Amino acid sequence: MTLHILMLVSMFIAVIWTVLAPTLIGSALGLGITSSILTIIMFQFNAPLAAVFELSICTGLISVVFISTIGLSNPLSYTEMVKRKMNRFKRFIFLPLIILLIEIYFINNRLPFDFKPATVVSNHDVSTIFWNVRHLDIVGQIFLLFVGVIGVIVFFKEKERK
Amino acid sequence: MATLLFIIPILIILFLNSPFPGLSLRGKAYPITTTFALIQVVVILLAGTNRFNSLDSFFQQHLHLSFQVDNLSLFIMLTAGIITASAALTGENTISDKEQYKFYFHNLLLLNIGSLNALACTTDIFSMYIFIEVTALICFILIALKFDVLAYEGAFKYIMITSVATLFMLTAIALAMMIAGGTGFSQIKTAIESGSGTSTVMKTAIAIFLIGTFIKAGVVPFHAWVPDAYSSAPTAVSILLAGIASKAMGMYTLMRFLKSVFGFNPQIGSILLAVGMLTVIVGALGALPQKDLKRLLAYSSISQNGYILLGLGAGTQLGFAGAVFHFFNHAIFKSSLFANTAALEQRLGTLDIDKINGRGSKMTFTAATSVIASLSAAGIPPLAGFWSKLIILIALWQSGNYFLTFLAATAGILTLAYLLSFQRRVFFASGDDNQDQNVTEADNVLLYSPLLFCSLTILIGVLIPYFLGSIILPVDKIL
Repeated sequence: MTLHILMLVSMFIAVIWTVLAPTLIGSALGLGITSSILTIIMFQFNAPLAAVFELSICTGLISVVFISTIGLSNPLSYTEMVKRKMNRFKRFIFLPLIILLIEIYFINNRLPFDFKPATVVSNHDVSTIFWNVRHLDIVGQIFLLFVGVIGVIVFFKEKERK
Repeated sequence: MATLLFIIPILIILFLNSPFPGLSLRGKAYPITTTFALIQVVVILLAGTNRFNSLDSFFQQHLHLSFQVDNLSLFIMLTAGIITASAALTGENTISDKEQYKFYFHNLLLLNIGSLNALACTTDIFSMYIFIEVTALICFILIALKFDVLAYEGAFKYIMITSVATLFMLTAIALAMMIAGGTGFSQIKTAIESGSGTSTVMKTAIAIFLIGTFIKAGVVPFHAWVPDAYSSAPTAVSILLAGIASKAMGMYTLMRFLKSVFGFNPQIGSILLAVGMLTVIVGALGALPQKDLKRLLAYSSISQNGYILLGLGAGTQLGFAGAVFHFFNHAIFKSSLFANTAALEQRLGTLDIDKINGRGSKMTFTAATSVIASLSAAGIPPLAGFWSKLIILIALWQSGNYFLTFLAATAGILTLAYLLSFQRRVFFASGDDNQDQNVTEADNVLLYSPLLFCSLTILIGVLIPYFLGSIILPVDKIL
């Protein structure tokens, strides 16, 4: 339990760093660290396949995509960066207070788990369920792939044109 | 047959983008998209649910695709077909001067209609979530297709706010799966009916899911993204967003869940009625001071979504049928109004109502169709919009919500006020005669959609006794 809470707090700190980092590269690194901690949490909860996906795709591939995108964007000037840094902190000044209030509320008003979790009975492993059972989801993934490819082409072509 | 309606768009995309010159249909994206959408409309009008389900049993058996077509699905697919055809027609003249962007626009339209068809037919909450996300991603790209600062801002706001909705929906799915042991509609429904429905966790899941659908639909108080997204997107994309995309992701999802999953109960009804009434009034008040035509129509869309929620909140079969009917009517008259803005933008170069100042008076066809669509939106008989609002008001009255019935009827006056105001200032104000001389009617291709929609509005309104008994009321019981 202590380890879980520690992981959760670490992930929260990494998320805050991702959002508040002064540079985009810092944000991309923060995202990578967040995904890595989430991977560890998934391993702790006995979901190795999900953890592997999280590590390879979110930590690995997404970080590469982010850094490539950052490489294609125009950097801010020094003045713009200083102004942006000050504004960003001002925006989040109430965040610790809001989080504390939410924590106090949920400590005093715990969600009663007044139900019996259903037992999922399945003779199939994850790959069988993914490839042989949930075919409509695969159709959805194909749609997502096409949309992603077209989106990248549309936005990167516009970037090249500019 | 429903399978074909979401598999064929993928096949068309492959042929459109084929690297082999002999197989490529690159130059034909526009006619193919429009034709496919119109064929979908014809197929749905001619086939009934029985024919759909019997032809699909082959695909279900061999491809293990879990879906079911009912009257509600057919309604959504019909609306998707009509609106996609209109967006394709309008987009050809308004998206961009560059052929490649028009090409990608039509690709995205095909993916969108395929995704909406799958969304309308699925019987699994997780598959539904996937297709909602596909549609949201497509809308994000389409909103940004103008490539200016406002478009990027609108797209960014849209994806940020709807990502919060995604978070809520996924959380609700996880909680529901914990209780039901699966993600199928029937599994969750069984779990609710067996007693888990009264558990705090299930109630939390339902509440969280409702918030997610409200954000996706853009109802008050989650409507912040709607005016920016609708106004900064190209007009053809505004037609798609207002006509089907945002409503399918939000309102249809809510309708499906009321019908097939958690059913109707008084608590959910109260929430829907409260949010619906707030949305009607805030949307109408928000539209009144608008100077930008598309922002005015965006706020109008928000307000009309409130009427749909009121129909659902009444908790009766009549209310549900009224909500679905108003969903369809809103798609028709709002898309017609957005198509009119495309015509105005083409000829006048601006959508600022103060700058237009009556210069639209020379565009007689656009003016006429705009007036018909506005009157339908305001609920003036005998147009279709009047009947859907009347059905909702009757359903509210019959369910004992007398005060809300009075409020909803009064809010119709606000709708009339802002729509008539926009008509007067755009088409009937006495502007500068020197400026008016060069204004002519828009290109024919921008007039087809308003012509079709206004014809439908009048036809449905006049022939309402036939449509009410044979199409609208049998949309299905929710209790």
